[in-house]
Amino acid sequence: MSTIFSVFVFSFKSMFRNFKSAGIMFILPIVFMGVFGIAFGGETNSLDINIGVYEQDSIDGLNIQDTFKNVTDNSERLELNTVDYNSIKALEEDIKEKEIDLGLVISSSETMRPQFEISSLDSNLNSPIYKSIVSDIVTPISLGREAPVTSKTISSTTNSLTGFDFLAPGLIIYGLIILIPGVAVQFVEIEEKKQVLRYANSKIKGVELIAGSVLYYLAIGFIQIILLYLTALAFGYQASGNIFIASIPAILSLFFAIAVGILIASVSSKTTAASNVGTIVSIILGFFSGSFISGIGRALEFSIAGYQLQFNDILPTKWGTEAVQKILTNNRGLNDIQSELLILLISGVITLSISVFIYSNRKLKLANAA
Amino acid sequence: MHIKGQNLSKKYKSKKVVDSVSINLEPGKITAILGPNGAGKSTIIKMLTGQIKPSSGEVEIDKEKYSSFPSHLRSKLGIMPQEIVIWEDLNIQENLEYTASLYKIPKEQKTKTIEKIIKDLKLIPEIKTLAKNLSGGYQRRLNLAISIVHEPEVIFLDEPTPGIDAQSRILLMEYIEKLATQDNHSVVLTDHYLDQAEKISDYVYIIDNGKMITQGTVSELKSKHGQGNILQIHLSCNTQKDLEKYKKKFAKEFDNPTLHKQTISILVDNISTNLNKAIKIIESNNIPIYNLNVKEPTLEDIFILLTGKEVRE
Repeated sequence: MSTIFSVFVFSFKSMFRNFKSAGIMFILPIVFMGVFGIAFGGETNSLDINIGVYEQDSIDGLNIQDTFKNVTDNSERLELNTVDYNSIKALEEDIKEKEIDLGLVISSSETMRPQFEISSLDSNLNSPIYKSIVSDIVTPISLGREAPVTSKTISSTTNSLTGFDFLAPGLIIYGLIILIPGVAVQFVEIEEKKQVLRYANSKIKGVELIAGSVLYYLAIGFIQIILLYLTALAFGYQASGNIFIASIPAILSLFFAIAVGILIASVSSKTTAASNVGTIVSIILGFFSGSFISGIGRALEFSIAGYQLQFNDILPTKWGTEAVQKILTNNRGLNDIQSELLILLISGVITLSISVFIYSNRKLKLANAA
Repeated sequence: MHIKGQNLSKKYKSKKVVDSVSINLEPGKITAILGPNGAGKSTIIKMLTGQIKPSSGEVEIDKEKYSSFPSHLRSKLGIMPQEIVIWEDLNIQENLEYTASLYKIPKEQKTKTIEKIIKDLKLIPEIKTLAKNLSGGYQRRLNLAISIVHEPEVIFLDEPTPGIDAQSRILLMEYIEKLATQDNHSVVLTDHYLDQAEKISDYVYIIDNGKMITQGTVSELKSKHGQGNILQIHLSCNTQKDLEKYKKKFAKEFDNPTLHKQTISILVDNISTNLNKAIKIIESNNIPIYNLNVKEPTLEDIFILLTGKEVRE
């Protein structure tokens, strides 16, 4: 354990003493966050909401389905999926089970005007998304039986989410993905600078060396998450969730990123090559994980055996982005991201095990040297 | 730990860089493996320390035979590679502490050993300087220091002093000698500075083109290959044709004169007779010379006599 800690401390000292070059890994994501914050901070973005509707009383002239369809058709950013219910009980059950995000019970008042009851989990009702739904859809409908609902009312709401609110979680994940070239370079340096001779002759095990370095990157990653979160808030990110809970899927995503970095190091013999490949991989990975374009996966959907899939479903970092978004933007809890956490954990462990195995066998064994 | 390499060979594709070399590293002694660049010295060291696998031959450690050096014994070796392998972003003290932690040395022992090494290698003035900012001489000293911080039984030094100032070179060689004589380590050293190796080595292997040319203690080598004196005739002509022509004139009267650059070297037993004989050859053939001298043969002279070339070519 003390050997792992020595490697951890060594890595930190090396980073601080090379801060000019190491700083880029901190500064670049912050710059991205700032640029995206300025560029998309004022715009709303698309939002999928599942609404359960129970029409308790029939109200002449009010067709709630048409109203929602109208909102979705006229809005570039809002997609409402409605599910009809036959009883309040069934609707409330599904809210509890989180099958739907929001319940809308429509009844008729004594004056035959429609009245609405919004039901949701308490936490959800406090988040900007649901406040916006309440104020932008229900409120206009209740004003008069023939009141039209348009997308204009949504974007004019002060609590509406901006495009940046949907990008910020992805940019936090990108701040971790961008560590890939650094990981790759550090591991290639061990071979390039012949340090492998020192390690292989000592009593340190390959696993201990890698564990010390991974620990270092996890610490760096956590600092990165906090820095990016604060930067995002400074640029107008409307986070309603807990950053420390969001750090859990983010850190699990980092495991995958570190594994990719080690894998690149396993097949690179020069630091320049590792750095270049790592940079390209991190940009591609960030792009398809939704770091720069929210909901990129929807553009490339396909179906297998009746299941609708997105091609970037295979990227653990995509699930990381979604999980962080659920926690921070949608104010969900850990229970709501169980599947994402499971995917991240399994993929992280598998990829890290494979990359550590390949790296140890290809790079840390002296007799492999020419 | 007693290490022997038996009939070690190393082949890269079709090229044999080491050809059936046997080496015996006596415990507590300084063994020198000498030869010019590209002779195969580093490859032999790498085979003896398990850095590469021999193509054929075996390594014997304390009478146990292995096809290559076993990895579980590697921590008993101290290897100072030809390249400087230090932690550039750490200072001298941190370099030694980090390396010691890799060997899992207990804290007390670590502190004691590090203090001793720092003192012996005179590293104190630069103790807090980052390794990347050290001079070449200090980097070499640190390279040695971190190779021995775990107090290995056998220390391999692959050309420990290239490109450094004379002061650092003397300091390093004295320290290497001390490692064997006072601290009872076995030291294996490759070098192409034959003069410095000659002074401290107990046993010498001379290698050229991957093959063993000769071996023995320095005095054995001198009596075997260098009994008598070396007569050196420094010619003042430049063309290879003339140099070869004049060499042939001497070859008629002397056994095995060697030509290196513009100097003809001849090993002679009776200097007064042979000096007169050489002068007569010079005069009768009008051979242009700018100097003629007589000296006792060094290891370097023996190497030139055996191979016809200088060790640092």
